[in-house]
Amino acid sequence: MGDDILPAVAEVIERVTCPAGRTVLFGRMAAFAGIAVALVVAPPALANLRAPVVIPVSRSAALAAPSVPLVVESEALSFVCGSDSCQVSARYAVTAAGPATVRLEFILPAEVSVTATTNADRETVQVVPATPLQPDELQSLGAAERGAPGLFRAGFQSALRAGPNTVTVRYSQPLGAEEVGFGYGKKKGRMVQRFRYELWPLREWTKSPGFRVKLAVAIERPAPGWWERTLGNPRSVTCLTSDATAPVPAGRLEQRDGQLWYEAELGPSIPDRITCFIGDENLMPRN
Amino acid sequence: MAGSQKFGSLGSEHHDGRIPPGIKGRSFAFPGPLGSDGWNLAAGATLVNKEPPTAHQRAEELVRQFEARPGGGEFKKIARRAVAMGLRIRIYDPSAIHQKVSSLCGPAALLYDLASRDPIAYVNYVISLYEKGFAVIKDIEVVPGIDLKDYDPGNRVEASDWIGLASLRDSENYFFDYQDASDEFAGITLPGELEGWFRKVGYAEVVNDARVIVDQEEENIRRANTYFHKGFRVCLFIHSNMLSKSTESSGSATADHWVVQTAPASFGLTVLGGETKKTISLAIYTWGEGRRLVPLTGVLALDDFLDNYYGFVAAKF
Repeated sequence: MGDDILPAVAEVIERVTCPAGRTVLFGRMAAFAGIAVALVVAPPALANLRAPVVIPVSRSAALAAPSVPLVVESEALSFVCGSDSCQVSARYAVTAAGPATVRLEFILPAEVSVTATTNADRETVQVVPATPLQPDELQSLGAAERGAPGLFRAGFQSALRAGPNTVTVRYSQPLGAEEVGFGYGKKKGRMVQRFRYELWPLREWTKSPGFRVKLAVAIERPAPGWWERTLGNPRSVTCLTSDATAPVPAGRLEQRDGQLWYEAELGPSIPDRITCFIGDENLMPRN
Repeated sequence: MAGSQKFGSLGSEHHDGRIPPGIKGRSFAFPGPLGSDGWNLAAGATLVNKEPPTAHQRAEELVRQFEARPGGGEFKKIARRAVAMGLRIRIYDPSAIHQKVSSLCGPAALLYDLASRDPIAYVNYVISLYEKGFAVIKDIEVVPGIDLKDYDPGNRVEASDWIGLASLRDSENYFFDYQDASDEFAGITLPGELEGWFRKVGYAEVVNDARVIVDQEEENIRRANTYFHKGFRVCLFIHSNMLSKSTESSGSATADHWVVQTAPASFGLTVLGGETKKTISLAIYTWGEGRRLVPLTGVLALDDFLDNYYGFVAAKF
């Protein structure tokens, strides 16, 4: 063990003492001082941390494009999140050239009750295990965190009229979570909750030129007082996209009564997916 | 089939030409290519698949034989069946090896490598520990202490992982006794030690360019990536801040975790906060995931990566 630590300490000493190639401290004193600094700065130094507590992230997806060509004008996507799940509402504005009955399907993360409406009419929804996954689904959904629950497929017939229509689906999506900030001596870290929503199915739709996804995520949070805003870490929420060139959507946060709302608009380029995070403000990812 | 002739052997057991009960091959029918040549030749008339068994199939057969043997093992609070169940999964998916609450990421990196490269050796290692209380992986002799063998990991660490990982750690510790999943300090693995393990298990070329308390420069990760491209097994010494979106931009004072690179790193550029920044992405084995993405989503600035990166140990067989 000592064989490994000493060169590292020596390197610290070298870096601490020779920032411009000149020795500032001298000989043995420098060595002792360096070791002392290293021990103070890095008491938990030596490696091998336990694994974090993880609840696998859950995933759901936008409506897959139907076989009948329709133009999708917008998607209003909202997640109203409680302590362990979010109520999802995805509302699509679609335009049909003529009256048509189309089958619409989407992936959801649990065998839960799904409500689907076309305009004001409630549809009958079947939820079945999503096995096997379609090739494009496999590519995006195949690799899941170990222990992630199985995926399900919801499907329904949607009777569309000529012209503008509104198709809405509602269901519950569990929140995943990951412990962060744990370490030696600190047995428990803090949990950051997460969920994932796949937008890539929208690629196959015919989209209107002004197509946007209007994203809204609400979490329960009483308005924080001055003290908490200034020195604390109130709960917060943020979302990242899978687009490496624009990972951070232009989102905004707003406190409305007992809820904190995050809102963002995605488009015209639609990322493959979004991942949203809920947790202490200083644990929200930045990019 | 021949009746009295002795055919084939798997481990110390000899077959008499009859079909052992409970054999279930994955892609071959019995009498299949499970034993020695003699066994195969005798079964030739009814052989369905003449392909020799894969290493995975042979390892699976070793586990089946292990499970069928009566009695408990040296790890008194772990059931034979639980070990067999864990091994079966890990033969085909080495990334299932999971340290969970233990501080055993160094041994996990080594056994992930062993199970990926040589599932038979991996299975023999765990079986030998369970049945004999010691095991040998080439030049590493693993002899866990009594305390460790008497420990019940429950669901804190999976049975086969506890036997494989904790035994290696305990056996290799000079000063500290590893006997409980919560033994943090006794669980540490330093770069020189991992390097030594790779040498002892037979890797011909081992490069250790990792350090404990000063993060590395871009050149180091690029070199690690070059070794990965050359077919080296590359273990990265990191701070676990790197693995969470919430903490990936926070620096660290020391390394605290070993991971294994499982996909090439790619380097890029992006604009963050109005500034053009270098980025990096790669996939690793850690915590029971074989292809965990770094970053999990979004982008990771190379500077942030380097703040939690302490070097690598690369080894080529």
